[in-house]
Amino acid sequence: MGKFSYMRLKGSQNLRLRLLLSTLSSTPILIEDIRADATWPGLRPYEVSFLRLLEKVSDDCVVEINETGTKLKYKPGIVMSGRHLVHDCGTSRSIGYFLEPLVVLGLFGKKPLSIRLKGITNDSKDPSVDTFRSATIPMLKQFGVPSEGLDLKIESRGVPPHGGGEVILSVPIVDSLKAITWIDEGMVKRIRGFTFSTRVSSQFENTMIHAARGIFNRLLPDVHIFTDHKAGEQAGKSPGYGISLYAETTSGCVISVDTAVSYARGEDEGELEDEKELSPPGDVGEEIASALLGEIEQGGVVDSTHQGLLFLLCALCPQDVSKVRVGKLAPYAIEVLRHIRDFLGVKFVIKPDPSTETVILKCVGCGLKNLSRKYNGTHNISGYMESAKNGDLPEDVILEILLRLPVKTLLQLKCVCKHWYALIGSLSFVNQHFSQESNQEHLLIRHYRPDEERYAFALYVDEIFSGYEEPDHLQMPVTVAALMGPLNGIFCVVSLSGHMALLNPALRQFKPLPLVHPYVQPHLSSYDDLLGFGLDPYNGDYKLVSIQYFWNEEMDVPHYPSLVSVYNSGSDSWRHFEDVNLVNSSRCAYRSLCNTYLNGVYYWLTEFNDTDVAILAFDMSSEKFPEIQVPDCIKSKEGDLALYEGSIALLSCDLDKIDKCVDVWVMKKEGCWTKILTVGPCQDIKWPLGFWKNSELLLETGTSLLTLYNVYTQKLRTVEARRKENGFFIYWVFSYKESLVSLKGEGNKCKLWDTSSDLIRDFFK
Amino acid sequence: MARKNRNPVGKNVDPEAQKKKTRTLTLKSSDGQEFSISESAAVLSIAIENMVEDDCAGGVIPLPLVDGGTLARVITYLNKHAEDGASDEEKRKFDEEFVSGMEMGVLFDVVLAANYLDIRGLLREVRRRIADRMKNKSVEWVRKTFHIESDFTPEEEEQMKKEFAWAWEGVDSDVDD
Repeated sequence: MGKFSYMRLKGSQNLRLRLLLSTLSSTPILIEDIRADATWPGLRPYEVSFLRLLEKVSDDCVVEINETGTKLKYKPGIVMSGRHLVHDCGTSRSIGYFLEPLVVLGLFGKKPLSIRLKGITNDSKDPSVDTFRSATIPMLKQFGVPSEGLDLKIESRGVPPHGGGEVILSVPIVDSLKAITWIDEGMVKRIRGFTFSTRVSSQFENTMIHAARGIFNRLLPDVHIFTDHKAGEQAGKSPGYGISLYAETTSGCVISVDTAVSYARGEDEGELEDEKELSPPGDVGEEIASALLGEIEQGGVVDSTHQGLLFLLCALCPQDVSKVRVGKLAPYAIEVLRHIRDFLGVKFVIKPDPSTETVILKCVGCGLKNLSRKYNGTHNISGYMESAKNGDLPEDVILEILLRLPVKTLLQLKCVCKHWYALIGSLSFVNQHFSQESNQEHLLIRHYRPDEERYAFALYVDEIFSGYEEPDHLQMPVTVAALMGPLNGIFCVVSLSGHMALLNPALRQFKPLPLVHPYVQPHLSSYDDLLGFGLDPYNGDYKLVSIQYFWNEEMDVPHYPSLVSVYNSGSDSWRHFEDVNLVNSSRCAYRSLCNTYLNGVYYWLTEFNDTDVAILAFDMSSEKFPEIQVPDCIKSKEGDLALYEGSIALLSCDLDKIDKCVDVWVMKKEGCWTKILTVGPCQDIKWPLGFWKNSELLLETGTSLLTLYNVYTQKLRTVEARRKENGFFIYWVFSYKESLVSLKGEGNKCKLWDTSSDLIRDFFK
Repeated sequence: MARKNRNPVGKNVDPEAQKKKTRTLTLKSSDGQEFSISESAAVLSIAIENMVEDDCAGGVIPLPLVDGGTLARVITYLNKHAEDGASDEEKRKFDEEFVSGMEMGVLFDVVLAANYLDIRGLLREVRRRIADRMKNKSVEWVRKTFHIESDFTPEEEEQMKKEFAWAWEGVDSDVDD
């Protein structure tokens, strides 16, 4: 076929979209009159950069541009993708401009894509990289894109005018997308966000968060905005700050907005505007929070910036009806609809829904198939047709059935065939399985068995605690000093000698951690330590923080500052530093009875001089130690921290009184406490242990019984009757769920958890 | 922050719903059997609802992927769930009994039909039932039931069994209960 018929187009508008659709539909295009009459005629630097990018990811594509850049001939090639590609996006448009088309092309490539993009990560024009992570990726998953291999990693940030940011985009390949019916936007369940600052004070971030929260706090409690202060090389080349917010709804929609503030680009088209003053962070926070509310008010399953991509994905689906609801159609989205009609021949039926002022769009997809995929054999995960051939049921039905099975059965079923092996081992399956409704939380307690004079872990089989099992794989030697977690079904175990390990009992995986070996001056001796176990919300690594308190033997005084050691499962190593904010080591910190880790932060209750109580927190991503005030009336450390309905709760009790009460305070936002209930007075309460499924407070009673107090019905029920004479704190209580999350990382091996083996015995010796 | 409720459930006040109850549709199975069903019951299937909405449903709706026996079962389910007086508790009990007597082969037919017709509640119920039956069954039983042939070599299979040897302890016998 020597001849091609070019689709002839005119003008500079929607060049990116035209190139994308041309590539997807293999239609060569010829565009004339590109800004022919403008002061600066021809293609813009970012458009040329995008063409370069297309050349990089595809084979055989031909780009011809005339001398003035006003005429462009583009013959698309085959999208090859591949690993370790690098592209400099320049500084005239941000990386967000390139991400949207690139991710769609990546899905239909021959090989999975992984590319490093350099340039501007955040600006006020294009969707930021944070928005891509929080809103675009979940949307792709709605269309059946596997979450395994779909990621955007922010290595460093860069804002206009000079950029300097770097991100790594990974995109898996698919056979085809999955048609969707997505018209229920649900109710807003929580608001999350990220702020960033580069080459300016991190105080800017706090001001933005404060302003944004001022608007949200009246509306809903579950608001959490993470900060990301970049310094040094990670901060790019220009100063700036910005914020990206997103609302998650009960039906899994994500509505997002973002902006960034920095100096304008010099050679920008927008130079006609007078040099505006940069908005102060307080205004930015308020504006963006209002913008988010505006987007929510509009309705629809996506925000206005994502409408175009949503329609495009619907149009690329198999020949099946897709139905979506959006708010007011954005101008760009309308252009997308027109171009879809021209390139793919897909027409949408648009039906306004006057009662809600939204629009419902329906279309039958064009059935784009990834032809390169058929060579990949049986290893692919979404090989729908493949599995339909060698089994009775379609892929999605099998998936839903497998998701309901316990871990042990699934490990066996990995052997059924290669397809099931890949499916059960995939990251998306592991995550979905963990959060599946049928994977219920079980009450796990450590109790004392007087008949055998030993401690044992008991797992309650049902909701009414009618009976318990003592499964072998959940047992620990008596010499375990602490057990923290579980997070994603994974515990952190500490032996009396200070050895630490991660443990997934459901997979019987046990991974000893390297020893903590900081350099300590010879005259110092460690007299106490404090541990916290959590996840870095940015990259999902497990983190363990240990604070060691030292005594200066020579002068017989405490030594400041204390030493902080942080273990990171990504690098499988410890890092040590001294934190000046931890100067006051004579403030005593207490380990909480349950794992008081929440949204990237670990919390401990601390006390100074028996009267001054406060909370010490550790932020797992910034590795800072903020201090948080407790309610004024809390004067003594008689109580504990716990988690309640996605917030930190303070369980305060006065042990000296005969009729004891437990006051439950909840911190809805930092430093802002509300007393939600009081349990008692009751003579029998010995110690509060934490909450069970957000509805019942677990209490240890004087007779060493475990009792649950229902917050709503005020009823008590008793669980356990194991008794130890003069026993004190015989209970460790956990909410345990099985998990397929593997501890096996690249290059690090884990061991089999078998309490009778020498290996485990040595570990706990 | 409550968003506008777009799908009010108050069916009783809707005159449209009343109309639906009296209107009947005819569903035709792959083997040519025809079944009458009230529109209010039929539209519990999202696929049928879409067809009705798009006015594709001129008289008889052909369902070429569902055989008569299965369609009869599905219709029993739809009728029960569209019943006015039925409380949630009753429906739950009905669901339980509905799936409990079915053999694996029948469950597969029903799950395929529910998937094709997009009946969420039935799909969920049958999937749960199939999963319950699969718990603690041997790999051979699963392969036989799902008609899947192993594409592993015996060595590969042995290797995998070794990796999680403990998971093979205490597997039930291969009798279909």
